[in-house]
Formats: sequence, structure tokens, C-alpha cells
Amino acid sequence: MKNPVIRVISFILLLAIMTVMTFTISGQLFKFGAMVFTSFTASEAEEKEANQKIVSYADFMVNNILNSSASAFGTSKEYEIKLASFTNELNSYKKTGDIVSLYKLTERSITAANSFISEKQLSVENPTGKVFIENVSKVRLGLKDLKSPAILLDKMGPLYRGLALAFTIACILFVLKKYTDTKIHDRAQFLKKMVIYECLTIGVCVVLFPFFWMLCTAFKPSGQELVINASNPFDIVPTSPTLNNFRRVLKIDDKAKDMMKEVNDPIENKKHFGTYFMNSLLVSTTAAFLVTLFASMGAYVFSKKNLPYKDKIFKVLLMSMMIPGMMFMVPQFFMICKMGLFGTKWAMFLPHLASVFGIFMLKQFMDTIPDSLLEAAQIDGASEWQVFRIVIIPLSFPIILTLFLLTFLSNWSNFLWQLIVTDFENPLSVTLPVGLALFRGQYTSELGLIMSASCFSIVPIAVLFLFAQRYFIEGMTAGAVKE
Amino acid sequence: MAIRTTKDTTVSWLFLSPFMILFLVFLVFPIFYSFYLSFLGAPTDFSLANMKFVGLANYLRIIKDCQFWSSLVVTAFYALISIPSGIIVSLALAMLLDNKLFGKSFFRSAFFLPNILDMLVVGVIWALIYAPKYGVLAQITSTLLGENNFFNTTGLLGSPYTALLAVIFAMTLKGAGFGMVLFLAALQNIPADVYEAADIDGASEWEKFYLITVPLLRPIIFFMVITGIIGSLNAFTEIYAMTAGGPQVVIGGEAIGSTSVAGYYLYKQFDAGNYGYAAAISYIMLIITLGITYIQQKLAAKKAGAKK
Repeated sequence: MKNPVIRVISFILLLAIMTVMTFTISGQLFKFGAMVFTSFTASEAEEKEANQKIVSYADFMVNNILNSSASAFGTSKEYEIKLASFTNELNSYKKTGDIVSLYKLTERSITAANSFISEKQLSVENPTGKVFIENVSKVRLGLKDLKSPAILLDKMGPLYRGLALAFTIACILFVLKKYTDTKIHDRAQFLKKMVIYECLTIGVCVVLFPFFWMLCTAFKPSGQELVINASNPFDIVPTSPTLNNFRRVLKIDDKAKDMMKEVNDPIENKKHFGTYFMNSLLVSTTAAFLVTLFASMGAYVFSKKNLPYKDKIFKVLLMSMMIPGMMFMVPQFFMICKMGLFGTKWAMFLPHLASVFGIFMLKQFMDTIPDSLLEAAQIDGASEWQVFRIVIIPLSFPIILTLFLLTFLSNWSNFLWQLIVTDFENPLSVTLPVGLALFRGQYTSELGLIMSASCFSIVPIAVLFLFAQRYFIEGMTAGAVKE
Repeated sequence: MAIRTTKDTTVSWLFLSPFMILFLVFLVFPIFYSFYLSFLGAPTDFSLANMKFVGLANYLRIIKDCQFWSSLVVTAFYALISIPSGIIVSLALAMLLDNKLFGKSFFRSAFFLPNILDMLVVGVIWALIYAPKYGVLAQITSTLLGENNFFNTTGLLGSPYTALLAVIFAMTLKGAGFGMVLFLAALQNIPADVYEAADIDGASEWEKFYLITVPLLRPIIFFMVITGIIGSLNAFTEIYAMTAGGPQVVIGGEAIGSTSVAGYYLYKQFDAGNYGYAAAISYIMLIITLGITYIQQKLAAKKAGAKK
């Protein structure tokens, strides 16, 4: 890195890589944002109507208007060639159901018709010309009223592309300024940092790609999940977004609504991901609340109370953590069945309420609370419960919150146990992971549906993580560091 | 708090009782109950009541059960590949992040995020990525290499040679952030003057890594090995979501699932209604786990002794 020429060349190379990466990633993210926004603009019926209309408009323009004009008024060779290419395009787009291209084709054919009108000097006085002009303007007005997310997204194209471009340029300028500001002998260090940033960015992309792909596929219309953007295979955000997958998963699409009206089966009507989501939420929250309550009461005793054989009991508890969880599957299942709880929400979390890990974690923290605080409270006449509630709980609140979140998480994704105790006929006992496993068996190749169902599990946790990442990261790694 | 009184003891027990009752009922009792269940056969009808006492038959069956022993071998492979790769990836990430960087906490969170997401969902997504014909990988490779390539016809999960590796790859990416945070915390605790001293002695970058960084990170590596082993013995959801134990291989007239790890085999037996047999298997697995833990404790004690 001593040689200035090599240094400059490698800087340019790194800058080029950075430009490509920034533009691709930010382009995808901005497009994703626009895509989500536009998908919400139309209801299912509007979307369907718009899609049908676009197909019929394109068909009408190319097959009727342009063709009839050719036969009625006579045309040039040039016009014939144009017409043939329009017909070819129309047929190929109709096959793939490419709404955006059909829309653009219609627009282009309107332009062609208009130029034809001026070329042949057609006017309203001429009876044939009158019908022709009226038809063209009807289609043009119709196109304006369409409520289609795909077309709105296409119109927003300059916006999100412009944003991505502006962002990329800002990044390049920033790096260039930093580079020129860096003193010559520090520049090798600067290049090393650029390499690190680029490696990390690639790493983040690889690690998070499955989830981005999941989100994108969830918005793709049925049957088009596999259509890859031919001009740019890295562009995975759908061009014609739709909320239909989510509507179907939640059973609020028109077809399911009609079905519900005809056959009013309360159990069948509840078999959708809205119910599963509420079940998971209820199970995880209740479990997390009870675990933190019991564990903090227990940890208070182990940390601050005099109890005969306290340390020995604690050692036994710790030893029980060595036993692998799989061990308990069979006997706990038998116990739940014998208690008559099979297929209820209680069965989902009851066996996991005794959290030894929670006691261990809370005790570690409560050991740091000075005894004098408790004594002071007792002298002021606080009862045992008051000491616990007014002194212990508020002081150890951060760690209690951490335990709450971790327990919530482990119950949210406790697939094996919930699978075992689920009564598949009763939608009230199906939780998200079990529901997804069931669902995947039914719709093996409907990627869009599976992915939108997955969103119900992934997105809330990801949002929760955004707000409470400190608690998650510290809580999950705390056990390891202390050992 | 120095004076021990009966009142204090009563209050303590009151505070402790909700936890202790749950602990005794759902964690202590099942161990003995499971032992009892392991002497029972499969139920003759669909109720759980009609199970006959079969004595040691379940344990004798385990000894002869090739599929069980092969599932242990698969588990061992799973552990032997996934633990080192997990350590290497997360250590590499931690060393990249262990610089003065703007946006460090963003990268830390981004790598950590997959860790907390539901294992089943992650498995399903990866299974769809790997899937032949309609998966992402198949799509990309068929545009690059033509229709007739391995990823499009068989798929990574369809071949017994690659299925386990594909699962491990997905799980390594999911778990990398966890190890990374651990390594990062440890790396930041290494004082800079250690490296400065090594610089003065003329150590190369590799020597500094091998002779300073790795020994100082040994406790974390040890921890990751332990959790990795426990994780491999408990592995179930990823296998269920991605391969369902397959693809099958026939070795010596026995069909063996090439990704059927012990946890998955246990579930299979349970699902088939062989409750007694499943209980017996879980007892054998308990003994294996305790054995491994014992060896680890011995190793840890030996190392601690050697240091002193």
C-alpha cells in the first residue's frame, strides 16, 4: 500500500464496488417501501377490476381500433410493421399476465392512433372518423380512472429510482470527501476500513436475504412468484404487488367471505392466521407474565431470604438445567393428557412455567441489591409482600423485562411441544408455528401464501427486536458471559 | 436478615411455593414417570390407557435398532460440522466488527436478528430457497447454467450428500450473530497493550491471532462447543421444516434417513405411537448427554488446573 498508484487504483475499485452495492441495495429498499405503500391503495375488487380492464383495453386498442383503422383508411408499410409488433406483444403479455407492460402497450397504441388521426386528417365530421376518435378517447379516459397498484408503482418508478440515485451520489461524495481529507499516510488505513464495511454489508445481505425475499414474495400475485425480472435478476421486489395473499391467509378475501355466508361453520371460519396469531400472542404473553412473576418471587428467596438448605436446593435446580429438553416430551405429554388439557391453550405453556434459567438470571441480579435497602423498608413497617413489590421489583425491573421478553420469545417459537399438544380440529389451540406447518402441507407450491403466513410470525418479532434489541442481546448472551 | 426465624422460613416457602410446585410437578416428576413409561409398550388402541408392561423389551429393541444408532451418527456429524463452522463464521464477523466503525451497533443488531426469529419459519424459508424447480437457487442456477443442473433437478435437500450440509449452512447463518456478540464482547476486553507488546517482539498478524486472540477467547469457544452439542442433541425443528429426516439411504438393507438426527428420530417414534419406546430412547439420550457433560466438566477442570 506504499505505492500511490496501487492505492489510487484500489480506492477506485472499492468505490466502484461500493457504488454498485449502495445503488442496488438502496434501490431495492426504496422500491420495497413504494411497493408496500401502493399495495394498500386498492381493495381486492378494485384491483381485480383494474387488471381485467387493462387487459380488455389493450386488446380493444390493438385488435379493434388499430386494425380497423388500417382496413378502413388504408395505411403505409411502416404502420403495418408497427401493428404486427403490437399484436405480438399483446399476445405474449396476455400469456404472462404482465399488467404493467399491457398498460404501457395501451398507452403506446393510443399514441399511434393519435398520430394516425393527424396523419390522415380524420375529424369529427367524418362519420367513420368520429367513431374512431371517440373510441380512442374513451380508452384514454378509462386508463386514467384505473386503480391498480402495479401501475401506481410503475408511475412511482422515477421517485424511488431518483431517491436511490441521490442516496448513492451522497454516499460517493461523502467517501470522496473523507478520502481527500485523510492524510496521505493514513490512507491505507482508510482503504482497509472500506474493505471492512463492504464485507460487513455483503454479510448482512446474505444473512437477511431470506427474510427480504420472504417479504417480497408475500406481495406477489398468485402464480407469478417465480417470474424473475429479466432485465435485472437482482430485482426481487414485485412489480405488480397485491395484498391478496394476506387476504387469503386471513380469510378476508371475497371468495372466503362468500363461503362464510353460505356455510356458517364457526370452527371452519376461525381457521385462519388471525386466530393463530392471537393464540400465539395470548399463550406467549401469559407464559411470560407467569414465569417472570414466579421466577422473581423465587429468586428473591434465594437471594435475600434465610431458608434452610437454600444453597442445596439452588444447586439441584441448576443441575436440572443439564437435562436436555427432549427428555420431557413423552412424560409431559402423558401428564397433560391425563389432566384433560390436551388441545387447550393451557397445555401450550403450563409445563414450561418453571424456568430455572429465569431464577438463575434474576438471582444474579438481585444479589447486587444491598440488604440495607430492604432493612430500611422493613423498619418503615413494610410487610414482606410490600418489600418485594416496592423495593425488589422496581430495582430489578430491567432484568425482569429481559426475562419477560426471552420467555415470550421461547414460547412464541416453541414448535415441537405445541405441535404435540395441538388438537388440529380445534382452531383455538393452533398457534402460529403449528399453523404454518399445517398450512405448508396444504399449499406446497403456493409460495406467496406460505410467505405471507410466515410474516405473521417474523414481522412482529422483528419489530419488537427493533425497540428492545438491547434487552434481547444482553439477556441472551448474559448466561454465557457469566460462566 | 441475620436472624433466622420460623416466620421468615414460612414466608420464604410461600414465596417459593408457586415455582417449586411447578418445578416438582413438571420437571422432577417426569424424570421418574418417564422411567416408568419406558417399560410400557405401544397402546393397543387410540387411548393412552391400554399400555402393557413389557419389561426391558424397549431397551433390548434399542440395542438392535440400526436407525437409532445411525441417527446418533448423523447427530455426531451434525455437531462436528456445525460447531466449527459456527465458531469460524461468528469469529470472523466479530473480528471484522472489532474496529472503530460508524454504525457498529446497526451491524451487530442486523447479524443478531435472525437468531430470535422462529426456527420453523426460517427452516421453511430456506427449504423454499433450496427447493428444486421453484426455489430461488434453482431459478438463479437455471438462468446461469441451463435447466439441467443439480440445483434445479435434485435440489440441495434432495441429495443425501448435501442435505445435511444445506441444513447446517442455513443454521450457521441464523446463529452466527449470537456467537458474534459473545466473541465481540470478549475481543473488546483484550487490552490493546498485549498486542503492542507482541508488535515490539515482531509478531506477525497470524501469530498475534493464533497466540494471543484464540487462547484469550478459549472460554467462549468452550461455551459455544457445549451449547453446540446440546443444540445438536435437541435439533428437531430445522430438520422437520427442511428435510423431514430424508433423503433415505439404504445401508445394509436398512433404510436410513440421511438427516434424521436423534431428536427427530425420537419425535418420529413418538408420533407413530411408540410412547414406551420413545421414553426409552429419551433415557438413553439423557445418559449420553450426562456422559458428555461429565467429560466436559473433567476437561474444564483439567484446563483450570493446568493454568494454575
